[in-house]
Amino acid sequence: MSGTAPSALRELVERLETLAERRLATRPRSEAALARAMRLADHLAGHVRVRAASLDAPLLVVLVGPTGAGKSTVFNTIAGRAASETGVLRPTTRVAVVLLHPDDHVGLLDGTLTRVLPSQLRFVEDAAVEPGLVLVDAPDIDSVEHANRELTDRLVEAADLAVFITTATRYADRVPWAVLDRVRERGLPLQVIVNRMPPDAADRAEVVADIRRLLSEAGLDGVQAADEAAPPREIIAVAEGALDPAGDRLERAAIGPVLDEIARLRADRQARLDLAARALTGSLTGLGESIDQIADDAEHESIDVEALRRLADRAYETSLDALRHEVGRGTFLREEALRQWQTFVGADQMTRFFSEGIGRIRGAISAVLRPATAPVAEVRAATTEDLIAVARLQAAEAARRTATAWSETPAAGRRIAEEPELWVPSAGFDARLQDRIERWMEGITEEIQAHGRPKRLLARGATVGVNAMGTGVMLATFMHTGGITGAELGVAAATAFLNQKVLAALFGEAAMAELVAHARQHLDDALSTTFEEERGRFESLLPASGVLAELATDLRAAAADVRALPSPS
Amino acid sequence: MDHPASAEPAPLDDADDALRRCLDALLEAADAADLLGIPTDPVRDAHADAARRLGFPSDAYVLALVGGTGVGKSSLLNALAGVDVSPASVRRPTTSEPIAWVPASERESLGPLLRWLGVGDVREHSAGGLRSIAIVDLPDMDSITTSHRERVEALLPLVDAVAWVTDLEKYHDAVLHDGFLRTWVPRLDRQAIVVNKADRLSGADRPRIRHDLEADLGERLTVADQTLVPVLMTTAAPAPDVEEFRSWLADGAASKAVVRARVAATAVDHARDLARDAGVDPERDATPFLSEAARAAAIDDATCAVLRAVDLPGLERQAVAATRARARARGTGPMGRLTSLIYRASGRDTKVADPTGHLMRWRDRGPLTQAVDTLATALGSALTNASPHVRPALAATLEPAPIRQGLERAVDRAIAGLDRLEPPTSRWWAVLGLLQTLAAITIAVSAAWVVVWILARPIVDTVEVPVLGSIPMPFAALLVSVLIGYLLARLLGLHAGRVGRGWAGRLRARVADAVHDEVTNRGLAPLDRLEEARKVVWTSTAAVIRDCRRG
Repeated sequence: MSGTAPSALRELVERLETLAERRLATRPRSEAALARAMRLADHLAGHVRVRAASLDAPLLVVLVGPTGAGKSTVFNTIAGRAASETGVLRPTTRVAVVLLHPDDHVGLLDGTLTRVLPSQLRFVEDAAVEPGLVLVDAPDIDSVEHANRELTDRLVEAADLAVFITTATRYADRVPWAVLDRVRERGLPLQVIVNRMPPDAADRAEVVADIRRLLSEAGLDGVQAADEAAPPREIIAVAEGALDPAGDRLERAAIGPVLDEIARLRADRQARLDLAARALTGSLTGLGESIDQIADDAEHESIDVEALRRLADRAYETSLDALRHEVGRGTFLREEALRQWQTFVGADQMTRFFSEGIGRIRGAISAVLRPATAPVAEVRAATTEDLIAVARLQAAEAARRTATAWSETPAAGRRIAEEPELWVPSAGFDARLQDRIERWMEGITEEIQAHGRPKRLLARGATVGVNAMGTGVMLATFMHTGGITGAELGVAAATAFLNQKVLAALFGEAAMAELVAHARQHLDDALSTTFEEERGRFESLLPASGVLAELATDLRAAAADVRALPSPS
Repeated sequence: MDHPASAEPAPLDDADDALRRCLDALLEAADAADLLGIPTDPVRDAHADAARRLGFPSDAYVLALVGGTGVGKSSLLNALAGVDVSPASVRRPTTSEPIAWVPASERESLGPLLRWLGVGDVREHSAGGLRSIAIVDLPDMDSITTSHRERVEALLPLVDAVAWVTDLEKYHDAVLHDGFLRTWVPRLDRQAIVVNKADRLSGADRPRIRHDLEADLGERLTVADQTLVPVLMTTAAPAPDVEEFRSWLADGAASKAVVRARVAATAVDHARDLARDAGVDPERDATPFLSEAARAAAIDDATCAVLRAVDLPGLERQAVAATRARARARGTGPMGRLTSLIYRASGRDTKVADPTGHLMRWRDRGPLTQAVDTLATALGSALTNASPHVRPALAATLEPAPIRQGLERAVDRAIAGLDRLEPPTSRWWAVLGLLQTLAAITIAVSAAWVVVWILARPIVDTVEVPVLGSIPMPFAALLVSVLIGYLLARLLGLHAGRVGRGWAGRLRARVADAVHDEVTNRGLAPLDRLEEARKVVWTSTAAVIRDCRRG
C-alpha cells in the first residue's frame, strides 16, 4: 500500500480524459448520452485523476439527498456550527457549502473541484479541524432548480464517501434512487441517514427494514460496507424533532456513527488512505462499464449520423445532377436572349466567316455599311439571371428534401426546428453564385486572349470583339447542336447551329471544342462548389465522417485497458 | 379582419349548448390541424374523454387527490372523513390502487362513472357539505414504483377536479411542478394546492410558503386569465386540522358547473396548443403564412416571368401581321388575292401571321424556371417564418414539379379562355378593294391600249407634262392607274397597320390579364389549401375559447 498509484494508471487517465473530451466535442445527441459523457469527464477530472496522482489528497465527503431532507442540519451537526442555512423554504441550499482546513483549499480547487464553477461553491474554512478531509453540503437533487442537480451530480463524481440523507416520507422517491444507482455504478462508499423518523418504535423498525430492502435490491450493500468483507453498515435513523436546542442542527447523538466515522478519518491518515484507495478501486471497477456504454452511444450515433449524411448527400447529388442536365441542354435559357444572339450571329457579316464566294463579299460590304454589335451585356445578364434561377430552384429542392428527411429523425429533428433557414437555400446563395458565374465568364474571355487572337480571324480582317467571342463560347457550353442543322425550327437550335458555325470558323473545330470543354468544366466546378457549400450547412451539424466510429473503437480499447489494470490497493 | 375571440358574444343561451358548440369547434380545429401536419391525437383523446364524461348523468363530481408519496393524501382523506377510509402507512409508497370516497346518496348514479375511471374500491359517506363530491385517493406520482405515476397520468384527464397535495418537503419538487402542475393546471378549473403537515410551520413561515408557491405557480402559468390556484394549509395527523380544505370543498360549487368548467378548461387549453402549433393567436388577427404584400409581389413577378415565355411582343407582331394578311385578302383586288393564296399555301401565314398558333406554341419558347423559382422563393420565406410544426407541410408546397404544372395549367387555361383570335376587319377594305379592282382593270385596259398603240400606232391625244413634255395618252393612263393602285395599296397598308396595332395592343393586355388572373388563382394553390386550413384553426380555436368560456 503506497500513497501513489502506478504510472500506468496515470497515463491511462490522461488517455481517458482525452477520449471523454473527444466524445463531448461530438455533441452527443440524446440527453442520456450527453449525461453519460459529462459524468465520465467529471469523474475522471474530479476523482480518478486526483486519486491516480495521490491517495493522500484531501478526502471528499459529500452529503446528498432530496430537498427538505435536512442535509444542512446534518452538515451543521458535523461542522459543529451553523455553517449552512436551514429552513422550511425549499430549496434552501443553492450552492455547495464546503467545510475544510485552510491548507486543503488550493489543492482542492486544482484537483477534486476543478470542474465546479467557483460561483457554485461557498467555502467555510476552519483551522480547528484536521486537514485531509473536506465536507460538502450538496444542493438538492429533485427541486425545480435544475442547476442544483447538475452541481450535485458533479460532486458525486468527485466524492470519496457519500452520505445519503433522506426522510421517512421521502425514502421511496424515484429521483434520489437514480443518484444512488450512480453511487453503486462507480463503487462509491456510502452511509445512509434517514431523518424525521416516526416516533413509534415499530413504525421506525418497519421503515428501516423497508429501506434496507430497497438498498439491497438496488445492489448497494457492497458500497455500504465498512470494507469489502463486512456486512453493510447500519442505517442511521434520526427521530423527528431530534434537534439541538439551537435549532439549526441535530443532537450529536442522533448521528453518532457518522460523527465517529468522520472523526476517525480525520484522526487517522491510514484510514483516509484506505478509504481513498477503496473509492478508487470501486471507481476503476465501474469505469469499464461506463466507458463501454459511451462507446455504445458513439456507435449508435455514428450509424444515425451516417444515415443523415447519406440523406443530405443524396438530396444534393440528385439536385446537382438535375441541374447539370438542364444546364447541358440549355433549356433554362430564355428565348429572347437567344434571339438577340441569333440576330447577331446570323447577320451577313458574321456568316461570311463560314461562307465562300459571294456570301463573303456581301458580308464584308455589310460589315462596312452596317456594323453589327454583339449583344454581349444583354446576353450575359440574361444568362446569369437564368442560370441562378435554375440553380437556386435545385438548391431549394435539395434543402427542402434534406430538411424534411432530417426533421423526421430524432437525431436531427431539433436542430432543424431551431434553424428554419436550413429549409431553403442559404442567404448568400445568389451573391456567391453570381460572383462565380461572372468569374467564369471572365475566365472564358481570358482563355481566348491567352491563346492569342485566332489567326484566321486576323486573316479575314474581322473585328469581332473578344467579349463577343467569349459570349459565343459561353452559349456553346449550354447548347450542343448534336447533328441538328440550322434549317430546323426553333430559336435555340438555330442559334446553336449558327453560333457553332461562327466559332468553328473563327477558332477552328479543334480549338473551339477545347475552349467549350474547358468552359463546361469550369462551370461545373462553380456549380459543384456552390452546392457543396449548401450541403455543408447540414454537414456542419454532424461530427466529421468516421469520427464517432473511430471514437467508439478507441473507447472500447480503453475500457479493455481499464479492466486489465492491477488493483491500486 | 375582426377578432373572433373578442367578438360580440351571442345572447346567452343554454350553457350545455355552448359547451357542445365549443367541443364541435375543437374537432373542426383538429381536422384542420391534421392538414397542417400537426399531431392531433391528444386533442382527439381529450375530445372523446369530454364527450364521454358529459354522458354520465350524476349530481356529484369527482375530485382526485394527487401528490407524492408520503405527503399524507390518505391521512388527509381519513382526517376529512373522521374514519380510516384509506389505509395510511409508514411504508412508502402506500396506496397503489385508487380509492373512492363517495356520498351514499350518489353511490348508485356514480357507479358507471367510477367504473369508467377504473376505480374499483368505493367507500360511502354521508358527510354534510360534501354531498356532491366523490373524492378519489390516487397513488403517488413520484416513487420508485413507476406504474403509480402512469396510473395518475391516465386518470388525470378523466377527473373533474384535483387537490394537489404536497408537504413542506415536497412543495418545490421538480416532479410536481414540471411533471404535473405546468401541464395540468391550465386544463383544470376547480383545483387547489394543499400543503399538508402545516403544523411544522411557525406562524411566520405559513404566509411565506403560500407566497412562494403562488409566485411559483404564477410564473409557471402562461394562461393570462387563469384564476390563481388557492393554496390551502392542512395538518392530517396527529392532530388533524383540515378546516381550510373542508371549507374549500364545501364551497358551494355545483356539480354540473364543475364538470362543465373542467371540460371547458381542457378544451380551451388544447385549442391554445393547436393554435400555437399552427402559429396563430386566436385572440388576435390571423396573419397568413405569406403576407398579402409578399404574395401579390410573388404573383406579379411570377406572372412577368410567365409572360416572358408567352412572348407578348411576338404575339403583337403576329397579330399585326395577321391583320395585314386579312386586309390584303380583302382590300387589294385580284393581285392581292393571288399573293394571299400563295402565302397561305406556302405556310408563311402560320409562321408569321398566326397569333393563336403563336400562343399555343408557348411551351417551345422557354421554360417557366424563373416563375417557378419566384414562387418557390416566396414560399421558402413563408416557411422559415412559420412555426416548426407546420414546416414539413409547407415544405411540401415548395416542390417544384407541382408549381410548374400549376403555372403551365394557368397559362393553358388563360389561352383557352380567349375567344378565337379573329383579326379585325374594316368596311373600308372592301371599298379599297373595289377601287383597287377598278385600278387593276384600268391598268389592264391602259396596258392593252399601250400595246395597241405600239403595234397599230393609232392617233391618240397627248398630255402635256411639265419637264417630260408631251406624253401619249395610253402611257399617261397606265402611269396614272399604276400610281393610283400604289396609293391605294399604301393606304390599305397604313390603315391595316393601324387597326392591327390597336388589336394587337388589346390582345396583349387581354392575354396579360388572363395569365395574371390564372396565376393568381392557381399559382399558389397548394399553399392556399394550407392557408385555408390555418384560417380554420384560427376561427375554430377562437370559437372554442369563446364558447367554452361562456359555458
